[in-house]
Amino acid sequence: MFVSNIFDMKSKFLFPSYFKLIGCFLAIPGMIVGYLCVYHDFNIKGFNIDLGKRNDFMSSQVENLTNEVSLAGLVLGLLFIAFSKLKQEDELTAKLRLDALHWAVLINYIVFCAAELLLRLFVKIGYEPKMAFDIGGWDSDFCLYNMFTPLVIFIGRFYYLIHYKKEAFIISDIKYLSYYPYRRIAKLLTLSFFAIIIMMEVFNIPFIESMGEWIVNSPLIPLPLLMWVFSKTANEDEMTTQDRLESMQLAVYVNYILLFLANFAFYGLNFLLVMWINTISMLVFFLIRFNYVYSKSYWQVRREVKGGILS
Amino acid sequence: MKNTIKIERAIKNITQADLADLIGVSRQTINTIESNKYVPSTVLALKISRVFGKPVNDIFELDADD
Repeated sequence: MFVSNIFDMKSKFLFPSYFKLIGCFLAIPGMIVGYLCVYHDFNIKGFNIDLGKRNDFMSSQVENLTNEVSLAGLVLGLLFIAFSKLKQEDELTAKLRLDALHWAVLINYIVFCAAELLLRLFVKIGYEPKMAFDIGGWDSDFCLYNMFTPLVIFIGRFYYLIHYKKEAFIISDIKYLSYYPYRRIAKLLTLSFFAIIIMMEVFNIPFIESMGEWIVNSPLIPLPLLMWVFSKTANEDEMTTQDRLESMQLAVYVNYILLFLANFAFYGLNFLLVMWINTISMLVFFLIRFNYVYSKSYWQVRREVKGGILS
Repeated sequence: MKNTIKIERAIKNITQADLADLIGVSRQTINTIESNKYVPSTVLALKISRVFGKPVNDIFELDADD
């Protein structure tokens, strides 16, 4: 449908309200076991599986699934808590849910980039904080946290907006950067970064390779994407706001479904690649969906105007 | 946008919760609309006007800065 009504958003893609309780029962044990597993080498013996033929130098033959199961439980539980229905769903609660989602993504990535940057600064000056993963690469603890922090921040923000005042909801409007120059700059930077990364994989030019490696390892890679997501289109209106909100919710779902599958498909060092992709995937999904819808409606309007006036 | 929902409610002698039940939204949503913090969708505005039996224009009015 070309025109989507905010009222349709009321109960789109939401779980029944009792899923909130199921979510708690999944997320809390998931978090505790996950913490013990990552920081205290705790493994549940029954979760060993033999990878057999799949064995390659990137992963060991016997894999213990404790970390996979706890991450899956945590992510699934948080998704259930975040996207289960309230007692009374209406257009305003839908708006608040989606505003909170945008807010959570923005805050999450700013904090994530700042934390990564600080971590690398610490390493540079010789102070090494105690971490489970290697320090100063894409396999840092923050990448691991980044798999579920958007959901945690969202849940906190949403329930604050809904419950902080007893009588009314708190209205939060997202502020966007202006189209010119921010959206232009962000688009240019993002596309050239991806072009360089692709060229790095295809050609063997030393200059491109060192540049690509710098980009891949940079803690700031989500920032141009974030700037693209949070800057206005050439003609921003109510309709685009609606497309943004829908696209963000879809991006979160797609991102977590894929993460959930990848969690059980990739082990050992291969999973570090999943962690790297996860740092930008949600933003990438949003940009693809949003720009697709935006350009589709743009061309549709142009066609209609032509049909109505010229022919 | 301004609205006269509070006055209309007083005339009809119904609470925010009653109005919320009649149009199928939460009480907080009615409160947030009444205090002019949230502009309802056209669908919701039409539902409210139906409850009070008046045209939308009598209940909702554009502000000077809209």
